[in-house]
Amino acid sequence: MLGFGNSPQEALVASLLAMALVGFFASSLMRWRGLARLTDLLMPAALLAAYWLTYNKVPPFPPVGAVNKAFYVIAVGTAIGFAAEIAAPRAVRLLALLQPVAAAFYVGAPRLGIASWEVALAAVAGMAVMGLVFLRGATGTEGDVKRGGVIAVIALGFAPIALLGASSSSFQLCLMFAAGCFGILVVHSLKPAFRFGGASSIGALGGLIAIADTVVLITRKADLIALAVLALCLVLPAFSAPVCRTCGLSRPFPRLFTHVALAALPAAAALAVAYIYYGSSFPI
Amino acid sequence: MKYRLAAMLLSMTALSGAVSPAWAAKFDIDPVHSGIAFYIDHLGFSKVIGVAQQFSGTFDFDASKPDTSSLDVKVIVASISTNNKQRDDDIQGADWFNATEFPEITFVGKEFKKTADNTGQIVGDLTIAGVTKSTTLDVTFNKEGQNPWTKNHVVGFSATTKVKRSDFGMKAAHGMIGDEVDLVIQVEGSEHQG
Repeated sequence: MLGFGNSPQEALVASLLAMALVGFFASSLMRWRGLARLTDLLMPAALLAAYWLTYNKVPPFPPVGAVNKAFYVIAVGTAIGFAAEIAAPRAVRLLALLQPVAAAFYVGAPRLGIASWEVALAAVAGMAVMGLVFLRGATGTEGDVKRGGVIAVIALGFAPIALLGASSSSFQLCLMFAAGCFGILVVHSLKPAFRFGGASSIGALGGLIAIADTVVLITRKADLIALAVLALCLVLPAFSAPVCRTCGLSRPFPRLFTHVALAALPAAAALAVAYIYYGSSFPI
Repeated sequence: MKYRLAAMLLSMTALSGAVSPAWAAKFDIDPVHSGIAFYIDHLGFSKVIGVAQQFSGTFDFDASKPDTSSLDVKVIVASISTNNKQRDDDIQGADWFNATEFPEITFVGKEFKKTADNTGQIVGDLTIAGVTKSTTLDVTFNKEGQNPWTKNHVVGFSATTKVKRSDFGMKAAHGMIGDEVDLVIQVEGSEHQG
């Protein structure tokens, strides 16, 4: 029986359940109250909650070290993204594209001069991720739920890579964030009314990119092959529309399921690559 | 007469070693005969032992005026070992010591107090992962004298302290891994040459 904290595994499972349930209820409440625009804040809020549950702290400001910087990348990104969404909607896309560059250079600042090309590469990779998730695909609420689903899958796929990359905290954080996202999005799986706007892109996706920057640039033990396989999460969902047409799937839920399932395939493959590569030393 | 003089000189030399000559001097920490270890609780079952394999430092010491001492120590974070590669990789990462951004742990002594004949306290600034906290070392003065092998002027101390890792921003795995860390330090300093 689940003891809710009697063991580290139970504590993690309890945290995942709590994140999913809180996400579900917050998302349901907003949907019931017709606060569609505010749903944009749900995913970054889930990431901040996952951060707090993982590290048990709000880092001091100004932040010292990459892990503490990541918190403020999420918080400030959310504020900027949400403000831009209201005051200057046309600027949101540009800001979203600039965020991964700023995050890579901010988090990776200690690597500048030593391995500047790594920081530049992380910035370009982050921009590509942001572009493929946020700037591509259909607009509208269904497209926004699909974007949220892909981010949840990326977080889920990145978790074991972070664990192998010597960051057990990022592993927990990514799992909790993914659980929160699934709780938030399941409310919108049948009849979407979800907004993936400036806060979700710059705060949540941008924050996840900053966490990945921390593992890749600072801890520097990420498996690049597994990361490359995980990147296919961003490519395969492009085939969801033709697959749905071929299979005659026209309702939102099957279309959404197909989209997220296609994203999940490379995430599972990334886990398999990591498992095969590390064999019995895989720490699970 | 010649034999008597030689015996007298020999006995004086031996005596001078035994009474531990003390004078103000600058010492280099001898890493071969010094050690830094830490103990941290694991789920209440045991204390995991970690050691720093690379460190360096200098100190000024005069046994007759210990309050005028100085101390400056650097520990290479990448050299910290807990005898398990997975865990050692983890603690080098951004969640813990963050060796990439903060490759050294430093301790700078600020205040030196004698508390008894051979004990004292050093209050200093301990910097780990970019966070500096005032820390007090409880120090035992072991011995000062000539190393019979190298003939160097040597002084030795033992020190202990407790720190909370959360004070230095390391809050990961709270509840599984203890917050309080016991530090045990053995230092042998050899008088600085040249």
